[in-house]
Amino acid sequence: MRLTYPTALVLQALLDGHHHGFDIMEATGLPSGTVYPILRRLDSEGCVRSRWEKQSVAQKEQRPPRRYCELTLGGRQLAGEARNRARAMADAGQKLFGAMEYEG
Amino acid sequence: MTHPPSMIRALRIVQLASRLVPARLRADWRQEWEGELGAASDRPHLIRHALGSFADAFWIRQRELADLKTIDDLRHGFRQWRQQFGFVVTAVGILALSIASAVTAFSVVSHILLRPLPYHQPDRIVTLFERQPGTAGRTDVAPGNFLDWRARATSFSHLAAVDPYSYDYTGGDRPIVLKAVKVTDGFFDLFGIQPLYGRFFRADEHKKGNDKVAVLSERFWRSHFNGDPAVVGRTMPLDDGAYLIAGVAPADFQPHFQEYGPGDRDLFKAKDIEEYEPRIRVSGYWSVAGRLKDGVSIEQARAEMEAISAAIEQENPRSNKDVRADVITLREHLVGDVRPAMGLFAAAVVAVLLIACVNVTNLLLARGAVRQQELAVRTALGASRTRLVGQLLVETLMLASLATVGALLIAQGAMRGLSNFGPRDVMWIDTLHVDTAVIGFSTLLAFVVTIAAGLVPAFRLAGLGLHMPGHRTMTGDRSQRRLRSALVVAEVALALMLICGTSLLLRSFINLVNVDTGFRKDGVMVLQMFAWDRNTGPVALRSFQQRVIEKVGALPGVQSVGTVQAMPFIESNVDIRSAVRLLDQPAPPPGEDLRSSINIVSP
Repeated sequence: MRLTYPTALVLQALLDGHHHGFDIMEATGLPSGTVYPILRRLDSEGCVRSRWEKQSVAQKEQRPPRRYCELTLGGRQLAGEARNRARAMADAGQKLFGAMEYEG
Repeated sequence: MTHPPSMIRALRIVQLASRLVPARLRADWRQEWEGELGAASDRPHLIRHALGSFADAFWIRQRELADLKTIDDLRHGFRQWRQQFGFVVTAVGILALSIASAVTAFSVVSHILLRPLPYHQPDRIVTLFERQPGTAGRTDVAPGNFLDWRARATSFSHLAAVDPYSYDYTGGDRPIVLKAVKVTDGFFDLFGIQPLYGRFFRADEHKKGNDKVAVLSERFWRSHFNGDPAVVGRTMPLDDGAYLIAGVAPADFQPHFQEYGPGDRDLFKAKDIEEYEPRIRVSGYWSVAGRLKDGVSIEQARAEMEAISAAIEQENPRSNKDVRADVITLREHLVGDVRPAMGLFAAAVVAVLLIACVNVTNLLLARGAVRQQELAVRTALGASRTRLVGQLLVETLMLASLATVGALLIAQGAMRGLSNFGPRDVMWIDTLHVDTAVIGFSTLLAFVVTIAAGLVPAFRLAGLGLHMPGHRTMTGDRSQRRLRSALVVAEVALALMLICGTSLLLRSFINLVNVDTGFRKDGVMVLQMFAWDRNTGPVALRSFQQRVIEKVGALPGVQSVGTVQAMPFIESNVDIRSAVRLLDQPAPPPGEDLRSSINIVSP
């Protein structure tokens, strides 16, 4: 699937243990209108598996139950790929911007 | 559980957005968002987060509409097909047959009537004929008249004639007769074509002594010289000696513009004008083509030829009384006389297509009556009318796809049959084939027809869905019966029209077959001979003819033998017209004598 910058961020947030839409929004700084379609897409591509949290947990907190997302094996691989790409980008940026700083 | 005002607003936003979500998923979707909002009720920007639900809802909606539904519908359609195999076979059969006939008609029409002629600016090419008021149709051109036309006319950049001829070719396994034409100077330039190999004729090759030069047709070159380009420059044995092969004409160059004796030619030969030819004015046997000069319209050319014909008539009042030149475009000449037949053909095919359409509509309606229960259940379970119509249309499109494949296969067979066994005198029929235009057309047609046939039943059924549980009839209500009756009436009317037309045509055909020819044709066999070039002079010809009659007459089983110059009812290039006089009446004044085609026969 297409690995956009926001998708990479969402994958990383999932990898870091954020399992709910709003948590991911907070972790990534992306708006809900971006995060949800990405989660749906990941779900339909089989990268994310979702299930409802236990009724008892929600009842204890006096709120409706939430949907809980976690990465599948394929999702983990994709997240790893996203991380590698981000790292390569960062290295390239470091080289470029570091050199500029040095010259300046 | 009480909510702060921002939470209530956020929940309202989500509720609003949920209307975008397909009904099937709506409850789940709302629950998910409410869960998220519930867990985040103490956080800032709750409204902004809630607004994001619209993006989510849109995403789900487009995805659901894009593929989930169609895949479901396809799956459902296949299940239906398995259950109603007979229906599918009938509907696809009807559609495929009718579409195949329409596609074949389309191909024939586009291939024959609409195809561009393979020449440079083909619309500027015209053919010229002789015409005598009061006589039937056009006739070929007498050499003397053509030579005068060519000398005087200014409307044409090229004017060339062909003289049909046959050659005995003795270079192959056995001697064969080649159909050929002798062509005057500028013939190939007129069409603006290039040879496939070698060259066309030089101007000096249209002179006596240099004229043993031939250009082969592509088909003859392939069949008798295995398509070997090295034959250019070699000689081939024809009739009276060795002929130089100057070149090979391009593949589809077959200018069928002779009024008599159509058919492909094997050979083109350079023509020199014989010393006697300018004097022949009565018997037309040359075919003439011309290219209009730039800026000259066909009407201007007609006017000029009219004036020239009048002048020639004045100079030759005996031979050219009332003889006029007729100028028509090459296309009109080639396809003009098949156009009405094609129109009839196309009309019949459209009627067949309509009948098929009505038939399939009826089938779908009838099947719909059976399926009402299913649809009623689905409506009760919350399927919207759009969804049901969509489902029914997807099933119809599945029929269309299958029908397209079937139609293409049938059309392919039909075209192969037509090109092999179709009427020989219809131009280009032998090169009919299925091409991309045909495939595109049949696909389009199949979908238009099937959707037209499927739309009415789909809307009716989807609309009827909820009524069903109320009444138990399985045959449809009154309005549906009325619709089906109307369809049946339309169908029967169309079929009746077709049957009437066909039976009239058949009757004419039977009448034609039974026309009394005035002679008994059973047991008669004919053989064509070309005898004059090896038997020069009337004495030699007569003795040759005598020998043939004796030898054929001696064959076992032969009762009697006779010869004729031009075989009745058989295409011939021979049409000799001459003045005749009734012996018991005085000679008429010059220019008023009786004229008739004459044919010479043996006792």
